[in-house]
Amino acid sequence: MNESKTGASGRGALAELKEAMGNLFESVLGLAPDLGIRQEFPRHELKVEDDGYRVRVELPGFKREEIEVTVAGKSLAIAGERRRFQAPAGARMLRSERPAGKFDLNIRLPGDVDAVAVVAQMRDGVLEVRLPKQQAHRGRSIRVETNEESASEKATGDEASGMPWEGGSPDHPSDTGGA
Amino acid sequence: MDRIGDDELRDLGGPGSPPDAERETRLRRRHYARPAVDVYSTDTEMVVLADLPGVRKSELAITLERDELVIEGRITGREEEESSLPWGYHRRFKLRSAFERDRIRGHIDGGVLEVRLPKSSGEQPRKVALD
Repeated sequence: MNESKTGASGRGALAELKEAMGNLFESVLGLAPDLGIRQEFPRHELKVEDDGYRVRVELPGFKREEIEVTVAGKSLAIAGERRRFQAPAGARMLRSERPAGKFDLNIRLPGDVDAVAVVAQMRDGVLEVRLPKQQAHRGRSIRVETNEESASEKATGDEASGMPWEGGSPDHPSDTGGA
Repeated sequence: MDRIGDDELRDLGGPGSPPDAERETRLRRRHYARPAVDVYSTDTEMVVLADLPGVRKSELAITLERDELVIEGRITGREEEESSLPWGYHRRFKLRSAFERDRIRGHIDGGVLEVRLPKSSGEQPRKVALD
C-alpha cells in the first residue's frame, strides 16, 4: 500500500510547468528562480501498513529542534523552518535552489491513531513518523480465553463461593462430555 | 577519472557488472531525483551544497571527469520497498574553472552534501596590494 495524497510526489501539471519554467530560467540566466518552490517542499509520503501509518518527510539539513510534530485526532502536522543558506562575505552565489523558509505540512490520516505511541525519528535528513493504529481499528486477532483460565482466575478471586459445577459434586457431576 | 572523498565511496554499477550498470541507468532515469543545490564561488574555491535526504556516506559517489562534476547518491533499501520517494539523486555540472583535483573534498551530514573545490592557482585573481 502506498498513498501520497498530499505529497509533492504526485506531480501535477502545475509542478511540471514550474519545473519547465525553472529549467528555462536556469538555461537563460544561469540561475534558478524561486518559483514558489515552497509549495513543493518538503517532499513526503504516507504509507499504510498493517498496524499503523508511516509518514516520511525529506528534511535535509534540519535539526531535531527545528521540527515540530503534532498529532491531533486524524491529523498529523509537521512544521519547521530552515534558514536560507548564506554564503560567506565576498562570495558569488551561482545557484540558490535549496528551499528555505517555513513549511507547514498537514497530513490527513486515514484512521485513528494511538497518539501516545507515535514515534518520530530523524535520520540522514529524512524524518520518519510511525503512528500505530488505535487498537480498535487494527483488526487484530482477539485472544480467546479457555475454560481453565477463567476458572483459575475466578478461583483466586473468590475461593469461598466455590464452583458448583466443579469438584465432582453429586448433584452437578463435572463435565463428562455426554453426547 | 578522479575520485573525490575517501576510499569508502562506492561505485554504482561498478566494473565487471555491465548488465547491472545498464539496469542502474534505466532505473535512475525513472526513480532518481535532481537534487536542489546552492553553489557559491570565492577567489579561492567553489562550494556546492546539495540536498540529498536519505543518502549515507557509503552510498555516495562524487566524480570529476574532465570538466564534468557528477553527484550521485543512492538511498539504502528504498528500491526494495514500494515508495513514491526517490531512490536516489543524480546531477551533473560542467565546470568552467580549473580546480586542484587532489584537494577536492566531500562531506555529507544530515542529508546535506558539501563539496569544496579549490581553484587552481592560475584561476585565482592576482592580488594587488593597496595602501
